[in-house]
Amino acid sequence: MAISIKTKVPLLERFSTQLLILILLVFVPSLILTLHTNIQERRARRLHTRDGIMATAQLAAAKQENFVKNAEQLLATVSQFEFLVLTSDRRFSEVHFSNLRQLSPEYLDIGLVDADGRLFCSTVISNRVVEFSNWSCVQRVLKTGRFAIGDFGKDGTTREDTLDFGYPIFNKDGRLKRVLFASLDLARVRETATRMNLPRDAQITVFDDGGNILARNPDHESLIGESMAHDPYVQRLLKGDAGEVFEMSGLDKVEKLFATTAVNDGLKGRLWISVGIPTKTLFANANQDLWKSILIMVSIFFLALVVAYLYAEHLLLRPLYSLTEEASLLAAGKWKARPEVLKGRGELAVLSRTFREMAVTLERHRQDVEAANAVLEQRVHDRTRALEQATEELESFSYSVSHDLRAPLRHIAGFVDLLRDDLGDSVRPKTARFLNIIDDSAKQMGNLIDDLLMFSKMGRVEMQTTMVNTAELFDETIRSLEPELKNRNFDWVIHPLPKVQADPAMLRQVFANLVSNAVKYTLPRNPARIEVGYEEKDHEVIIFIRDDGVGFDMNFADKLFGVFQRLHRSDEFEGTGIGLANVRRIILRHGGRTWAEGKVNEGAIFYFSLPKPDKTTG
Amino acid sequence: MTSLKRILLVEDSSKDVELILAALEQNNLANEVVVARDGVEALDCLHHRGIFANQSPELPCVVFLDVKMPRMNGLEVLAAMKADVTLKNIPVVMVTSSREEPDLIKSYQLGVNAYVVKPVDFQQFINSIKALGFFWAVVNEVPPRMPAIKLDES
Repeated sequence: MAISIKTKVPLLERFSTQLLILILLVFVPSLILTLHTNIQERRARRLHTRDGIMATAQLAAAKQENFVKNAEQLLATVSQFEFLVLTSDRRFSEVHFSNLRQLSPEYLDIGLVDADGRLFCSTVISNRVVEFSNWSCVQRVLKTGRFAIGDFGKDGTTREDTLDFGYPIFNKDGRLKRVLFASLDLARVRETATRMNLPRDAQITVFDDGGNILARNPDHESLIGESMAHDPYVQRLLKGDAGEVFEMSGLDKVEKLFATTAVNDGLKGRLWISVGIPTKTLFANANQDLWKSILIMVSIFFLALVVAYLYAEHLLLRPLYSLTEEASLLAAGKWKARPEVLKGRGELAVLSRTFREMAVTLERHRQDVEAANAVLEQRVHDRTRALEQATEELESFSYSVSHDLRAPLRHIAGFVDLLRDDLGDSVRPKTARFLNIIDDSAKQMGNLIDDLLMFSKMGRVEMQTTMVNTAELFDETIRSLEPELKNRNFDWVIHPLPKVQADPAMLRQVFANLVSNAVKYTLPRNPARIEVGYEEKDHEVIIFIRDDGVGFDMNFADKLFGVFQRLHRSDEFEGTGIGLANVRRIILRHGGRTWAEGKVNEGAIFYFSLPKPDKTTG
Repeated sequence: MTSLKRILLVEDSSKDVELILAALEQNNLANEVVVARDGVEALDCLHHRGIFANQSPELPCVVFLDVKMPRMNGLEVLAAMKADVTLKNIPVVMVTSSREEPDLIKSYQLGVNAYVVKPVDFQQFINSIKALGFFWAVVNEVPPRMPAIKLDES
């Protein structure tokens, strides 16, 4: 049953669908809120991470700077010993530097290069004249006359991975005589970088000014000593300011957040320390949280959907379907239909209760109406019975009239006749006239009774209509009136007459009355002119009978068709005054009308109409 | 006119009896007319019992029967006669004031031979009686006694 309603309601207008849409509307803002919170969290995390890696970078830089400062301090201290650095005794210098190196094992070599670039002494190369004018740390010292950090390379004395430092040695005249150098073991630098406490997935890289990688952690074996000057990331690093934090793809082409800092040799950044964290790692937690939130939210959403759907279907819609079904049953006139009443005090329960009350009230009203109808029907029945009884009484009355009223008249007429016979020829003329008057009056009374009976019969008998040829009927009427037409001259004008749907016996009565009237009232005319014809209208046929007789006063036209109404003295024209009343009664029963026009001494026209037979059946 | 046969007139109104008798007389039809004043008397007469017990057992050649009568009306008499083997062949003429169609129909259904409505005009009535009486009481062959039995035997 419920299915039929379900299928009738368009999907979008269904309650369940709307409920689902409502839930969706509730969930969308919370989803937006979650996303917003997550974005906020990412921003906070980014700031936090930024600070974190910056601090790491700075710490790393500080550690690197220590190497540089230590080296500068060492070189500055050694440079104070002129006997050592300005001596021409190579052996002497070599012995001392060897001792010094044993004290500071982080240096792989300490030595001197002459201002012309030739090696004076070294702890690893002895008695060999080597040209070192292109050595970056030496070059820079020769150029600036100040402490300098060299580039990464194996171009020093050790042929090892070292970070070299140079320091100027001036003679008494203040001329730059020699460059004191120390080659720091890069393994130290790397060790420092390795020992750094890095955030997860973070990588620290130390570059020299030429873009060469000095140290890396983790992944410290790869790319060491290689020049990365061509890499956009390194270019950016070397160009940028120390302390900058930026985001771009690193050497391994992974998107990262970088914090950089530089170690200065007094003039210019010589060592670049960069700490990078992949953005993926950076937002891993945030992303994870976001996905978790979304997953939970979607789960709750679907759970809510299912619950809402079940709730709507079973708790809301099923009673509603039931109500709708019952309502449609009621609408179809099944008054016994009762919706199930829901428990509780909710709106639906109230609705179902109200609905049931309505159904009960409806049925009660229906019963009231039926009872009232029954009463009415009983009344109609009673009235009909009463009417039938009255009709029966009327019939028995007219039977009595027919039988009992005529008997005395017959006796009067009969005995007057016998009396007349008895008196024979000896009767006096006056007596004979009186006897004639008595006889005539009795006959007149007999005619009245007969006409009255006919009138009452015309109202009662059942009509049996058929197609009647009125032209034939008119001929018959004239033939039946033969006795009255004797000794008179007539000028008949008979137009074609129609066929009509009527009771032939009754219609004969109509013609007989109208024609005999015309014959009667044209008595003074010789010849008398009587015309008959018809006129066809949309829905009726009008037949008229015109005579040139004594006519009547139109002022009394409405009295013509009444019972016992006469417009002429009975001395002038015989008649009972019932004929036209009979005509009207018959025509009315056929659904037609009767009327008349007349003028005193000029004649009269009597009309009657009959409805046209139904064309579909005719 | 010795050949004139008996006529039974059943009529409750003495005035009507007198008028009918006068009409018959005027037409020289007043042979032996036996008058019964209602339906019960009419059947008594036909069965020679009651006040008619001493009468000669001749059956009438025709019965003139009124419809509206006390005790037993004309239609009941007619029905009783037509149900009786010895009486059913006697011609019956309804002579009545009733113009009611049901009476007319009922009479013919019961097998009446003629139905005459008594007119107010006495001369008309005399003419009717003349015709009826002449036919039924003079011209018409009287049915033989017990015709049904004879017919069965032949």
